[in-house]
Amino acid sequence: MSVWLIALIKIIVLFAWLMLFALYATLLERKESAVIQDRHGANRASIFGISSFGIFQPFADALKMLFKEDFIPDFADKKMFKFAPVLTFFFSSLVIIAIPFGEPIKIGDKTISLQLINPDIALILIFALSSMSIYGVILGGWSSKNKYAFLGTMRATAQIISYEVALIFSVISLIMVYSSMKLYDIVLFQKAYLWGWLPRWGIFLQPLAFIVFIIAAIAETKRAPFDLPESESEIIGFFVEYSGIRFGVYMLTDFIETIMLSLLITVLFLGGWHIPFIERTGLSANWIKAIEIIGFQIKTFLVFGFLLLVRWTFPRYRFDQLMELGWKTLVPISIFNLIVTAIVIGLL
Amino acid sequence: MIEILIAIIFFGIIALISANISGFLGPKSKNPTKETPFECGSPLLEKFSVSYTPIYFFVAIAFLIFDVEASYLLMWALILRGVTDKLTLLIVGGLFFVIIILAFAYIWKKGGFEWE
Repeated sequence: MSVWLIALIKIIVLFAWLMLFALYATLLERKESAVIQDRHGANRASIFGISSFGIFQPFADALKMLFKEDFIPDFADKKMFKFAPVLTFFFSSLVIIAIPFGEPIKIGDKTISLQLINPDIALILIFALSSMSIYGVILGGWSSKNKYAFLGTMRATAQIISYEVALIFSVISLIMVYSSMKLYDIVLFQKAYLWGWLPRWGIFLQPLAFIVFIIAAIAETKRAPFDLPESESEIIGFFVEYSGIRFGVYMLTDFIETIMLSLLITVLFLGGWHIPFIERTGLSANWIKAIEIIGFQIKTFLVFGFLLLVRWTFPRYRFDQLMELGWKTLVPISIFNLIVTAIVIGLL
Repeated sequence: MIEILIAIIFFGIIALISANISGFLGPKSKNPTKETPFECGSPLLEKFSVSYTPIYFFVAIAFLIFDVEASYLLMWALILRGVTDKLTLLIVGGLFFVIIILAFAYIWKKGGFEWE
């Protein structure tokens, strides 16, 4: 009984965290783009005249979308049309169950790990789930029976499967270094120092893999500079025929994918919740745990901010450039990195 | 295991509700213009047909080849650091890499990654 209860509480907390982050991510993106483009950004939504820099804006947007007309065009394949956004949202938000947020905490005599499940194949699970969400994109574009939506779907599929190869190869070299696929073990491995001063983080052990991973993963989230499936100035995207909350779900999924990506980068490359040299300050174990949990959130937030900065700084690629970058640059680099890593680990 | 089950049910229900809720909350209105495919304001130019350039197909095949190879490599990479006889594992893996690189070079030379 208590196992069920603990699991349910964890899931609700995870879900609330994810939704709040995703909602405020939309506001953050609007504000960041406004700063970049020298505008004010959203600041009108107010409750009783208090607007305070638009912090109510995400809720206003969500409510507006909920009360829009649920419109499904007659020529579309209705069942698939309804089902597609559910599929993307489900799979991309389910990734969060394998992410560890900190060291296990003790409440009374119970030890509670800040992670829902810790399977042996966590990394495979995460990549399987996140690439399942492409089915929602394919179904959505296909069932819309609109040629622009279909073009967007084909682009999205080609782009995502092309960059998946580079992504997987860079992750294999990481697995070789960590010798584990459990995310908790990966963070524990990174909680040490090279030559006594450099944190043993993934970014220092595998800098090439980090570069390939971050580029390929940005392409996987279908956001600028790789937003060819959307490209709002030419084909509008695979969700052309969607409106109201169904479109909102697609848009929210974009942000959820970006959040998952920043969580993954933090865990795999930036040492998870490890804060360098905190164990030498002489704080008590509980304080260290608390600071590390907050540190994990701050790292994730900073990575997310960096991804937004990338999104609003670079212009869009052309499709042939995109394919060349994926197949002719990233895949060879990641295979080279894989071979060098294998030789170094094998001969050490 | 229970945790995965609860998570799947929870997220499934949330996803189903959130994508379908505006059918109960939103207004309904009929209009013949709404029933035409979206076309950026101009009248409908051509009807939808499932046809696409074969390069998408080639990309999918190339992806299949390399992703299957990568999934074999996952297990190999997992045990490499822990085994005692690393040299044998390296030689076996090296042979596999030769095949991957040959396949990659072949597709590249045949123009499989050219987008025209």
